[in-house]
Amino acid sequence: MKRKAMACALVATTLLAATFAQGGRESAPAAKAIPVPSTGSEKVGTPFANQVHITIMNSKPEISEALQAGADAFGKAYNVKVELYDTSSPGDTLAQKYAAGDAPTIGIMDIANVRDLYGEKLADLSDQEWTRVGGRTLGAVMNGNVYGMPLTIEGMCLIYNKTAIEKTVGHAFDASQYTTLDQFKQLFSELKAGGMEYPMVLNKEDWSIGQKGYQWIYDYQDGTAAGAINFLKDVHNGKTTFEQNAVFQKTYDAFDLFIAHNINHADPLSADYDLNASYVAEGTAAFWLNGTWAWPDFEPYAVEGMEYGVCAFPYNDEPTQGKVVAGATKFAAVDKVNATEEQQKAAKMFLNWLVFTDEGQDCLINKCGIVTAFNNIALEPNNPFNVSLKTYIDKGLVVENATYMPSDHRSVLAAHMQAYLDGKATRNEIAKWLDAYWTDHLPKE
Amino acid sequence: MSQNMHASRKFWLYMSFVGPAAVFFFLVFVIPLVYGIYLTLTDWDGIAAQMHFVGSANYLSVLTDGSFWNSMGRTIVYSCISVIAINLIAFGLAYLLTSGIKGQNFLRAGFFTPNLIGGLILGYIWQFMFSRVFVSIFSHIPATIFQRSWLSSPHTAMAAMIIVTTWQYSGYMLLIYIAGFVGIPKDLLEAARIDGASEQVVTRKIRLPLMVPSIVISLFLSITRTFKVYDVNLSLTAGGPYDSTKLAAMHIYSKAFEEQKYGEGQAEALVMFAIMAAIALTQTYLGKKREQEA
Repeated sequence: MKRKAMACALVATTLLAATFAQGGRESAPAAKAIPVPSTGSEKVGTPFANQVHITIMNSKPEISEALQAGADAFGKAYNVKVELYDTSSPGDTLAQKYAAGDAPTIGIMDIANVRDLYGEKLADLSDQEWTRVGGRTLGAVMNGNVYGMPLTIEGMCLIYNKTAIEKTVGHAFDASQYTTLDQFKQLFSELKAGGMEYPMVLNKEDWSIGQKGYQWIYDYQDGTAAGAINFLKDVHNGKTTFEQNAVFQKTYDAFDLFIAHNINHADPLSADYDLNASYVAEGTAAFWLNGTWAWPDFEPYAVEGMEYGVCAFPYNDEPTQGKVVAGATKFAAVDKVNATEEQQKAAKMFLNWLVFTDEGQDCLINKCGIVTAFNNIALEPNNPFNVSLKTYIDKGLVVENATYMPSDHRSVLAAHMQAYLDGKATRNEIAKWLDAYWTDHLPKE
Repeated sequence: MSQNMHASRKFWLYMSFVGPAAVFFFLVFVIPLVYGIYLTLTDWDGIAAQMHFVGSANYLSVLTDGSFWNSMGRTIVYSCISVIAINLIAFGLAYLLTSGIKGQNFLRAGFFTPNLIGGLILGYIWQFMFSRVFVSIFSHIPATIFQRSWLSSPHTAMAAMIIVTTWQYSGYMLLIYIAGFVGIPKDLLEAARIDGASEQVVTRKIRLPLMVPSIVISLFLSITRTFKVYDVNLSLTAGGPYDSTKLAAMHIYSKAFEEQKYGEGQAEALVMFAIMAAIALTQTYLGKKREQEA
């Protein structure tokens, strides 16, 4: 009731404001186009009199369609034309766009990109309303100012098909009981005995096995970003090596087990991402080394009645055992170089619209299917991966996500991990390559 | 006085023809080239508003960048094999398709078609062929050649790159060779035959020498195109498996944009340009010396 009253008051206020802004002219097109504002729109602002055109660079292509639909709804309500385009390499795209003087008004990017751009190119978002509801805590904060809104919390983990596992092994499967490598070895033997010869699915993509393959080693040092950075600094200073590191050895013990049970074992580098999703979704395999972001690709193959979830990377005798990697992974930042004042205002309005209005929250949580960083949003995650991830977050079973890797980490190191997957590199070689890389580089703080 | 008027008129007449083209040439070629050379002397990362003069530091980095020279070596091998394959196939097909066989116009159009498809699309089509179609077909046939995707091992992935490039450019070079064959005066061929020359001798002594201009231009085009290939490399193998097909242009892109070392990337691009220009111009110079007038 209170909400409705507030909405009515807002309609009246907004219409009056728009009328006066147009000098009382009857033909004010923007005022005519204004639909009924939703709850929370007072934190967004008033519609523009003349249409404003903004662009969004989206580096999370799996939410592209849902985000575009949300942007269209926002655009209709606030007289903003939103053009969205995808990229899988935000760093490259931003460099090109800035060089061409055509930077996106809103860039959905990684923390490394925010770190590269914030001083000269990004608007300070510290005064935005969403920073007060969790946005500052998990946002991209540089030199005390907020430059990126945390768009989503994601988990890097093992995705599993509970129904298929239980059907194959003949007993109940509780993921929280499988946290060590020994338990996984036992489970894989049971799955094999039950007829599932290759229960594991590994990707071949450089961003996946190539980049994230190393993140397990960093993230699980002691579960904190500071711990990982200290370890990498020690490698840099020659105080230790990867070969001497217990987490490195245990991570590769797990990789060896996974590689031996990989459904793509015959030709691991011809693995197809969609096929991989279908293997686990349909129960041909049990586990997929990936992350909660995979749901939109997984969903088309999901079988009704089957239960899915996520669990931790297995480690024997580590304090981080049983915890999943989770953290804000994508940040929305606003350009201040190519965007006009009006475009920046529209961009900021869109971000507030996502966090504070019913439509925005619906777009973010239900349509884009993400776990939010904002404590004002009461909507629960609606896909099995995020529901599962949330149980780990709620119990505090989380290790911090790597955000400190230099921008050439993937281009220099990913190929080595792919070679390891294909049996063309050894663990010791990987350790030496990592030593060499981190001797040359320092983690970005 | 009238001489001055005449010179001025001549100058403006000259400028009216040359001026517009010269302006565009400066805008889209000379200025970017000079600015690009200037960037090689800076530490610009591709994003920052500030850049600092670093002298020859980027060129010294190029000399010590092992992965750049590896990619350059791969590019040279890939270009050499592709250029030979493209030109042999195109020359052979052009010979056949100017000999009056049935449906030759249809066949000419057919062979040219792959060139109309963009390199990116072509790469994705062939990626699907190598990774899925061939593997699927050959899983039912007792032959091991395609049982594993060609794109998942270094040597076969490079072979796949060469096959696709040959497929793409043979049709284009075919048209140049056809123009060359058609341009050979008929009376010369007839005179040689009347004198009792065999077809082999006619080809060796008359056709080939008169085809040199076509061969020179086809070699020049195929060398420059294969040397700077990026689109097929990206869509077919993405440089994989484990960077074994990462050619020079892709390495330069990575350096400039992924690693955000724009100055160094630009210096590598300039070095690649110099190597490519040296090869292409030497080939053109040597070829031109062999040209004959009909």
